[in-house]
Amino acid sequence: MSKQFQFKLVLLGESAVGKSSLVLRFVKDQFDDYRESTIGAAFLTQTVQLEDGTTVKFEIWDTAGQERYKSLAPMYYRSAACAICVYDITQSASLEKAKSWIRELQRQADPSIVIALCGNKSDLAARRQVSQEEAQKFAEEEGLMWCETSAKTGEGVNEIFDRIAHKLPEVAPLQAQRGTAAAKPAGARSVDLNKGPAGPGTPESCNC
Amino acid sequence: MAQSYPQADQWARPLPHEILLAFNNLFRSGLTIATLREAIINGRVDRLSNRIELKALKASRPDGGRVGRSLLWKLFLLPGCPLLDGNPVNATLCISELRSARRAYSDLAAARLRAPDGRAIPSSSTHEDATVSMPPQSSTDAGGWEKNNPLSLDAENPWQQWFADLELRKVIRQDVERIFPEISYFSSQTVRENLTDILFIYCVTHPEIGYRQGMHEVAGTILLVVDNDSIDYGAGIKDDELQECCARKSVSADVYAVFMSLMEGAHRWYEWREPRRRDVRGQPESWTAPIVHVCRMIQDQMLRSVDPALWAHLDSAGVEPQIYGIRWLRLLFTREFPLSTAVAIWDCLLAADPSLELAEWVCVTMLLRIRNQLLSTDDYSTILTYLLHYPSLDQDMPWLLVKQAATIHENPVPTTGVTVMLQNRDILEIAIEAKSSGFREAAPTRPGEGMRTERPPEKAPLGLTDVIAKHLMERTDAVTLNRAFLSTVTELRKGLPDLTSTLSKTFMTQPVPLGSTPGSTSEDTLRSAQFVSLYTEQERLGHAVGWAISALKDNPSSLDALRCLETVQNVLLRKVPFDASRLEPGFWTKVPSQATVPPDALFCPTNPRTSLFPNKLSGGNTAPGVVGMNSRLPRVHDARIPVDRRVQSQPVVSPMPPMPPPSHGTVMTSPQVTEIPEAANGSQNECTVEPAKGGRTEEDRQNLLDPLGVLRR
Repeated sequence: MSKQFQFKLVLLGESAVGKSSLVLRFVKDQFDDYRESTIGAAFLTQTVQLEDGTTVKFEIWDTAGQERYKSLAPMYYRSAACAICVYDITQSASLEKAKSWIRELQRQADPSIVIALCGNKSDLAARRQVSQEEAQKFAEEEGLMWCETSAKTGEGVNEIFDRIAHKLPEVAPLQAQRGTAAAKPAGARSVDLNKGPAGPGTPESCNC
Repeated sequence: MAQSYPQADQWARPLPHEILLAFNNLFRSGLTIATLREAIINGRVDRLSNRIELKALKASRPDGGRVGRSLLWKLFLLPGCPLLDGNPVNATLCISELRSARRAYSDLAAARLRAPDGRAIPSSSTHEDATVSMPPQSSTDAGGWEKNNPLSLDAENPWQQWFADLELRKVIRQDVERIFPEISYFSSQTVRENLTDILFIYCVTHPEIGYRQGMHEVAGTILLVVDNDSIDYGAGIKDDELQECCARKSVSADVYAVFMSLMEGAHRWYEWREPRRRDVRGQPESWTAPIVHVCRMIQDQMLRSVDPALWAHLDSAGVEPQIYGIRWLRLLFTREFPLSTAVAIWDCLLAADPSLELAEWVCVTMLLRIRNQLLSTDDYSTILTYLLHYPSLDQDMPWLLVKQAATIHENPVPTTGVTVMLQNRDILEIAIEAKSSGFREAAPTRPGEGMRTERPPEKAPLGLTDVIAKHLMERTDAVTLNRAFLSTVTELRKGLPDLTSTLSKTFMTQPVPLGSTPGSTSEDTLRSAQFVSLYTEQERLGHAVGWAISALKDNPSSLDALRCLETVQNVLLRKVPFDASRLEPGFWTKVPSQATVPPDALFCPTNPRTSLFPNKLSGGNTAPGVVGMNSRLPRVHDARIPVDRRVQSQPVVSPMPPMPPPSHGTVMTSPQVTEIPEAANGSQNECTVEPAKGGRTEEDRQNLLDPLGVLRR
């Protein structure tokens, strides 16, 4: 009697804050000190099993940090059910960049998108430039999830994906009522929401 | 001093005498550049070695033809090197180009790698300390203290530029730190510093392009290759030309020159600055990045023209081409293949055309190589995983990818796509499969049904095309056109009923709306478009051959009939495109009585789209000018038929549309199908069908790639 969901998740943030490393830790539980820069985007999937038996499959879009195309970025967050905006706690400028992504998402993405703000490299606390209080305060004001992670040690990584996996099915029916087509700009070439990439909150196949 | 590298590193430098051997083979063996390029493009570098001592270039090492690669790249990419010269290659011109490039780089470095007070950029400017490394206090008076000091806000303050430069270096350095983590060469701080300098100078001298992630990997690949062949002055090699051409102290300058030249072709994939243009209402114009435009061309036009079924599949799955195209093109395939394979692809791309025009077609051949995997599933995630984690093959055959790209560039029609599939089957042993058209017998897929097991792909109903293409390609003993074609007609005759039944099974179980166009019909209909268009084409060709046979029976020396057969041959060999619009069913029956219209005129003689690459890479006949810039050899039919006659008889010669609209109605009713056996009936006893050959030799492999050469021989 379990439910299955499939959600598109996109990672955004400045170059070299550790987006790909977070994904690698989450999907393969690995870490490399040096990861080659992401060009365009990378794509992985990972399935999370919740306590009640629900499975949540993430289609993870890991974007290039330097991608500033106005015409490109929307392709990655279009019809995304959730976004993780990553900053590096040792680079205060990277928090500003994460905030600007959040503002763009709030303006352009599906209104019900779940956004998490994620401060990575918590193992480098000695070189911290962004205080926990500052980031947490911003997240609360904006109604975002917030966490600090270390892709290197694994600290907090599974937790944030778990929290998202728990939250998404709760908001899914709401999104379903709004109609998945709303996320699809008129005339734009887009993923067929009735095909592979499920639109926000589209139940994958409900066996209950 | 030479740096030491672990022995196990496949990118360890070769010994100086190995580089000398490569140098001698390339520059002192009487080799012409045209021969060299032709050999590289056709994957025959090792063959050539038997004849002209190109041993150092051949794939004698596990990583494939590494020694001397940088000499090739310098030769192909330095602006003054004569790519069309029929004379033997020599090092003199290459060296004089290198000299001026090195002078230019040295001047740029002196100007841009120094702070306004003359001090050099701190060499340890890693991304952590670059921002805090303040330049020393100015000791010069240029512009006066008011203007020229680190804190001045004056717009002309040279220190403003200095800080902007430091910021740019920091961005570049961030990527350089992470380049090729598995190759130990790049863990050296000196190497990283040099690469950062090269990219930095490129960006400040090309502000309209600037720095984009990905450039670092292109420049890094060039650095790896050039440094690999470099020779330290103290290495004890007494050869002035070699010392100068491969001087280790000039590696950075040489890499800069090669990179800059390569980027002349590649920069279009990196441009991202949105032009500040406004439309008539003063609104910012909508703008598409050139790379997005290129990617859409690749999938929606180039792929669609050679493999409509695969295009329809990707399109209906919602795959946006820039998702994979950006990385494929910007990095020139370094992440899709092992680096040693990727640089071998570069060899072929540069040998074919240093402006990298073929790279976009290589994307198409890459898609064709994995079409079985792509067609095997409707699941978006699975398709994307194949595209972004490109499946590896046991043998990559990099030259074949580029050669096929040139073939489909020359004639982008579905039959060329089938040819590529046949080559992949025969050379790479990739079975020709297609997605089960499945229609309704398969359970309808539910949205996002990602965890189901994949259905095994079924054999494609490619019977007739396969028979014709295979028959013609394998016919090494066909000495006359008539024999080859008469026996092909027999195969046609045999194959048609089978194909008809296959088609009726495959496509006629579902009603197909007449007049429907690709893009608006059901997914299944779109997928069938390729087979329908191939079928229609073959059917019309069958009529043409049938007419020629009856004309030959009337008059055994009928020139028109022979020309007709020759034209059919050219179409089947993809020498000329098939022009469906000019082949009305009743047309051939009128021709014998009038006998004034040469059948060639029914086909458009030249395809405007191919004019950039006339006869390019088509085999031995174009060897001297294989790059296609001075090799406008007349095509067979051009030489035989006077232009004025052609024009008179067919005033309107229109090029073939990229994909002829599938004539579903013809397929479903198809009264003409039965006419072909009747037309060919009389000739059945006259022709002999050669037995199919058994095992395939190396020569056969070459023949598969050069069917025309087979017939010529």
